[in-house]
This record gives sequence, C-alpha cells and structure tokens, in this order.
Amino acid sequence: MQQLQDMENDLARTGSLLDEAVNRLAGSFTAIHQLVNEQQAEMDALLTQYPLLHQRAHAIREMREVIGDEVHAVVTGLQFHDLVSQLLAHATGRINELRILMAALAADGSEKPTGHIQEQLAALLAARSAEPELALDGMSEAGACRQVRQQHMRGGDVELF
Amino acid sequence: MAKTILAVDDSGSLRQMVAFSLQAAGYEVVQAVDGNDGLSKARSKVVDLVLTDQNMPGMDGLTLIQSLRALETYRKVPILMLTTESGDEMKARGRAAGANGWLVKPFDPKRLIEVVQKVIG
Repeated sequence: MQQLQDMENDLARTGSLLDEAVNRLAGSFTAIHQLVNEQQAEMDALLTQYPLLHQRAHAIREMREVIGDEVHAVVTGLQFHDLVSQLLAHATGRINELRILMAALAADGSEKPTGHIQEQLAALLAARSAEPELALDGMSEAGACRQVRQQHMRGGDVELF
Repeated sequence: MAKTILAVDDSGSLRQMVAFSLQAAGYEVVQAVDGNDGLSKARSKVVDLVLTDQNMPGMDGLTLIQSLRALETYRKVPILMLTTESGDEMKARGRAAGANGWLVKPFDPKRLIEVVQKVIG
C-alpha cells in the first residue's frame, strides 16, 4: 500500500513539475512571439522608409514564413501538456482502483483473502492485461479513464459534419 | 467587428494555445474552464462559434452542446468539438448532440484557423 502511495506521490509531483514547466514555456513563447511581431513591424516600416532595402525584402518575407511555421509547430507541441495530464490522471485513477481492491483484500484481516475476492482480483487483472483500454465502470462514469490514444504530436484529424 | 469564439476546455494550456492561434487570426476569444462555465458565458453573450472539449469535470462537452442547442439563441451557432477522442461512435454522438464538426487534439493552428474561417468567415 505504501508503494502505491509512493507511486501516486510521484505522479502528482510529475504533474506539478509539468504544469510549472509548461506555464514557463508558454509564457516565454508568448513574450517572444510578441517581440518578433513588433520587430517585423519595425522592419516593414524600415522597408517603406528606405526603398533601397527592398532587395532584402524577399529574404525578410521568407524568414517571416519560416517563423510562422515554427510558431505553429510550437503551438501544436505545447498541447502535449493536456495529453500528458490526462495520461497522468488515468494512471492515478488506476492506482486508486488497485488501492481499493487491496484494501478490500486487507479488510479480511490477517486471514487469507476469500476465494471470491481473490477471483475478482484475478479476473480484473486478467481483463486489464488483455484490453488495457477497457475502463472500469466507476472510472468511466467519472470520465477519468478516457483513453489518450495519440502516439505523436502531429495535428489531429478534422471533420466537418 | 471581430467575430467571437467561445473556447471551452479544462486545460489552461490548451485554452491558451487556442486563444493564441485564433487571436492571431483576428478573432476574439472568450475562455471557459468547463461545461458549466461555458454555458454560463454563452448565455451572457451570444458568440459566433463554440469550440469545446469533451472530457471535462462537471458538465462534459456533449452535455454542453445539448444544453446550448436547447437555447433559442444557439440553435444555429456553429459548435465544434476539440478533443482527444477520435472514435466513430463518439463522433456520431457528437453529431447527434448537435456538433457541426470534430477536431482531434493536438490541433494544427493553421488548420484550426482554416476550419474556423470556413465555418464563420
């Protein structure tokens, strides 16, 4: 039981560190993006004021496009926080399930678990091994065990009905 | 006048990225932290588009959509789901609830803007 508690504490700490790291990343990214926009506005003003610089305009436009693409990649990438947070919540939920089951076993005191509880635990563990995406009723009702199936951080599908 | 989008998601970082992307394209974005907050904000100001997550504490996305469609002012407002869920069954439930589209996370900002522009201009 202590090991389960330790695992849960580790997951909670992972979540906290993740939250803090992403908040810092997102804050810095937003600030950098704002400054880049202001810098680009200054360049536009310079190009207008000094026509001779137009020979550099093409290069500046190309850089602007690359910056735009990289910004989009960052925005897609930063969404990992949401997906990982959900996975951490799922893992915490499963630890809780295990704790409940083990508490039920322990509630029988120093005697060996009854055959019924042992069968239940064995059946549950077998089911989860065979179909890890199968959520327990209690957890799925709480909405805490929806599977995050994404394997990569590419943009997801879009469908208009 | 800029069109307004209501972005509903319990993830702060996700809302931030949605707002960042859509504001860069000239839209106003109102953020809501869950379905109940979304419904409350939708009632206080009618928006041009609702973008909602599915799995949220309290009121989930499908329930939010059903609640919005029950309001006269939201009968015709486009509603898009933005969720980790990608299964056909969930999409069918979303469509039945009144969603107009389904976007799977993570979203590509360029595609998100394209879809929003297609739906509300």
